[in-house]
Amino acid sequence: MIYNLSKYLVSDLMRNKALWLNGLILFIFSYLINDLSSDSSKAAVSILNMNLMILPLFSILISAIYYYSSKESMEFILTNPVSRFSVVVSIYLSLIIVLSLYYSVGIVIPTIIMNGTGYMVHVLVPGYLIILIFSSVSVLSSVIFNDKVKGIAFAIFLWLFFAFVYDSLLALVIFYFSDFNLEKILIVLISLNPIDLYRINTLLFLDTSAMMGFTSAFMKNLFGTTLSIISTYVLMGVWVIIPFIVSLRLYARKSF
Amino acid sequence: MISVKNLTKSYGIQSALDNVSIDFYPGEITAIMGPNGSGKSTLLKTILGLVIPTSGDVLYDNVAVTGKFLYRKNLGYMPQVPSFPPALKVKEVLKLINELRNDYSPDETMAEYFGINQFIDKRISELSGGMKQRVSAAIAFMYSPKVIILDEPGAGLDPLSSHVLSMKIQEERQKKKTVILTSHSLKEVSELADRIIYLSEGKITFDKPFNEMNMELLFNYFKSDEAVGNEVL
Repeated sequence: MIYNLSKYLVSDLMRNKALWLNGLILFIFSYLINDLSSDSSKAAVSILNMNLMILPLFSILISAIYYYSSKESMEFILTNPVSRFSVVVSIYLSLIIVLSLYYSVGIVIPTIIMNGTGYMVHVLVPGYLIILIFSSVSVLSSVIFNDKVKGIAFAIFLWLFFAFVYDSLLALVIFYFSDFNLEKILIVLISLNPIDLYRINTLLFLDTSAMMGFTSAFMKNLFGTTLSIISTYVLMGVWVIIPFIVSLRLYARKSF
Repeated sequence: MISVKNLTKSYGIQSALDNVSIDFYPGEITAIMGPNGSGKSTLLKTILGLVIPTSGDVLYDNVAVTGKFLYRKNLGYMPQVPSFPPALKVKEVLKLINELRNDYSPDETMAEYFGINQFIDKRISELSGGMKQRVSAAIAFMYSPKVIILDEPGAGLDPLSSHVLSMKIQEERQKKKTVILTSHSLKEVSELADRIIYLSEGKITFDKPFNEMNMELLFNYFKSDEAVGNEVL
């Protein structure tokens, strides 16, 4: 059932010309970044910075817009002998398939063409996890809010919060509580921001100490490089699973 | 047989349905009537499993089906405003529904019956509201459902399609199918219904066989609600 439904939803999403026009623009940007960077490590950091901004925003926005625009179609699908579980899983699967294709075409392929695989893999692969995380978060916020404007506004707020506000709050905590032993608390706080996890994960691989920042250096000192990288992957996995499971539970009890 | 027992649906302090119990019988066309916001659509959506009741149950063949989904293979539904994935072609939507209902083979003649073959290669986004209604009508009848649920079936259809649909509904009654429809049109109801249930503020005001209906009384009920009254008058 999930396969059958996802097949048609992917086909519906893939015919969205705006998405592919955007992918083309991203392709040109990625090509230029890779072409203009003097060496591949600088290109990797530039691609990482682009991914940190664009991937969460696009995943969250496209997922929310698609959820709301297909809400009535999904209601109609649900009048057939189809479980709500199958519908949510199909929506999520279709979104991550199409967004991953979009990311592959817009960023991954031009980067690999220009700079080969090498350590670029460590910049590009967690990008797919960011798509999984923010689509999952976006589906959850869309399931919570019935109103489209509220749902999309909340999705944008989440992006702003994780991309910009969170690190400032973290810096404030460190500044005001510098006299205390914050190690354990900071580990928890770092794991609460998936964008930070992606940044830490990639910078640990690249070992770009100048770019590493407080949180990455802190994790490296505490766990060492390998364990830190594994921890960031595990935490990103948790970020995919928990919002998705909550979405499933809420959708099962939802009245349309 | 499909029934609802002591069905209540509340949104905060507002009750959309208040302790509603109805049995719907095979071979009978039941019209649910009432002003806007009286709970007609909530009732249909609860039967379809789209609305989770606050209390009470939906029963199919005396088995509670609230929260279940397989019983819906026995239901055909035509919504008031149909919505399908917009980028898909009509034939793809039919194929999708076919794959979702893979236990049953579709009655292919329904596409011809409702005249959708002429635009079967068009995308949903290219169709008019009436065309989408015809697609929705064809799907509702295509899998020979035992219960047919129609939310304002005549709304948005041209007179010819509306007539074709009325004929089909009457044909289904002959086949001992259960038909549940909502309508604001007294003309439509008087042509089709065997039984009228009037809802007001989520409660059943009356539930009577059509031939025992005092039309003047029904008319007065409608007149008491200005918006619906104007439409009917």
